[in-house]
Amino acid sequence: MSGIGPGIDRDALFAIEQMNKAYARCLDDDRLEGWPDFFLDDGRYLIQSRENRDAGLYGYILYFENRAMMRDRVTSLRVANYYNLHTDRHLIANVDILGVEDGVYDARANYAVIQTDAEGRSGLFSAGEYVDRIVFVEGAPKFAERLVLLDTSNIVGLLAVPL
Amino acid sequence: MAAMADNSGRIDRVSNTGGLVWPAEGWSRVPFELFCDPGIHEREDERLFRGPHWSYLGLEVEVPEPGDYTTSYVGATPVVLVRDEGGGLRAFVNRCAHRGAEVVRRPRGNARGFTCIYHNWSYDRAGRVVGVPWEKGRGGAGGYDPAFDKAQHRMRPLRVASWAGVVFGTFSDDAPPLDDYLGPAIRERLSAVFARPVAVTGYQRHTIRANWKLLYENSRDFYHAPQLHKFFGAFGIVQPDQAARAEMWHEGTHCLLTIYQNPDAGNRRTRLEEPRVAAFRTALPESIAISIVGIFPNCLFTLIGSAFSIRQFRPKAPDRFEVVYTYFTYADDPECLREHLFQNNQFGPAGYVAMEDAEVVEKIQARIALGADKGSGLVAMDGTDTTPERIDHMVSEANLRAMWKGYARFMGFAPPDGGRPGAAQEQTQR
Repeated sequence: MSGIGPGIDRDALFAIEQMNKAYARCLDDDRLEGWPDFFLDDGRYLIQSRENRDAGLYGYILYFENRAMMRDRVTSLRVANYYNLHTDRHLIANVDILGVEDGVYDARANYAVIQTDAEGRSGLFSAGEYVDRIVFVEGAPKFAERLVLLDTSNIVGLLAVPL
Repeated sequence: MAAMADNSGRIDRVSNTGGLVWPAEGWSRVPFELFCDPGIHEREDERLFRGPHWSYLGLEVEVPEPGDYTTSYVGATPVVLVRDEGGGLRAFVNRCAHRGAEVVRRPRGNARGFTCIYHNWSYDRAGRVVGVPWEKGRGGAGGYDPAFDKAQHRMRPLRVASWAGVVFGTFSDDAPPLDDYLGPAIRERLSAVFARPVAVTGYQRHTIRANWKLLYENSRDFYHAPQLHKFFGAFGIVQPDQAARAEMWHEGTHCLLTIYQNPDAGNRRTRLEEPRVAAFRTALPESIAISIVGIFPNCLFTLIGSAFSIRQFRPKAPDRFEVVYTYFTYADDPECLREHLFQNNQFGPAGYVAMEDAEVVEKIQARIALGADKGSGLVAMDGTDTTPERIDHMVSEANLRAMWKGYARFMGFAPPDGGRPGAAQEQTQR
């Protein structure tokens, strides 16, 4: 499925690449209210360090198992939480499809998030991998699950906005 | 980073006067230099982390089998906790007795013994040297002097003791027995928490660009909770009862916080779409909603609902420390695990009622570092006295003052009433 060859599902790969771009722009533009719409109603959004995953542990930094929990997150960030004033810049690369089974695409991508603080200082905030299960609903890709697998398991400061 | 240059005057003053003279206003003032001064930071490593205090190392369930190990830090010093052949707990400094290289390189694992990569000195599970390449020379040349006795070399051991499966270590022969160190209230709470088998569910590393004491103090600060953390209020989540208790021990530096269930809990609805995130159905005994246990100098238990965690503090510099969370829950209850996963969204570096703590201590550090040795924080809610051993309401900072008084004593700082700084050398309970 992956790579250049006759078996590649170019249409699906293109659609998933476009979704990743839109996902990054949604978060980077601080349009957080649109973020849950990338998921199915019962879609899962998980953040876990590679250290925990490799040890067979849960250790989720965030564990959302439906879109309602994502909407709560956005509401809380808007009305309840104080967090660092910053802008994010998601860089998503190496988007690929590793397989498909019963219409569920096993997709991956690398990400890096560069964060810039209120005084204009930029730095790498997080690097890791998106481990995705994606289905197409009326021709549009949606996350059945997005697992953010952190290489940067040591969070500096705090993590408010979704990766 | 705090400037290392041009601080010699401060260090001299530290050594000459016992470190610092507390402001004359008393324990309701907390000098900012406590959070910025490199000399004080070094003194803390010597007097607190390498002094007569017990530091949290891990849980026994993390090292159940012989050879299981886990690494951490006691202050600045890297240490390894190991289960030995006989089932005993050992701890040693993770530093080769030969040239000082790191020996145990993985955070956790199981090993028959340990070998330094540099010259392959090898160690048993207690950190004793068992193998030295070319010890007797090679091809008749070289080797160590016949008088060299490798049994005289080892990675430095720590005393190890545990209570209810919670393991502590100390470098000091003068630390009191662990039971006395923890005190009756904390012993009882830990025994209750660990009365059922627990399983570690994961770890979380967190770097905070602030002085470690700001967060340690924050964990007992009743005053800030409803002011800074708006999550409960914004979603109409039933808040715990105002009935609360703070019990101090170890000169006020330990603090056992207990906040009880709100009897009104069943009668209100939250605006959270997914209320399981903030359920307070507690796995704790009695009607406890929240318990936070601060065990000086490096350990905080957070026990809320089914979201249990331990935070180990690892100071790195006056203005930077790491916290490593160990999450755990009851191993015999799948429902507990499920609640645990939902409720943990509240805690840790991304937590609904925790992210603000990291933000605010970093913002304190950023401001006070501008004038490191000028000024003090004000801690005068509910009077200016240090508290007795216990307070029974939330409208108080007396438990913070008690902590600073005990801290100053352990650090050998001159107290505000002009007492003798050296009095802090004596280790007494309360």
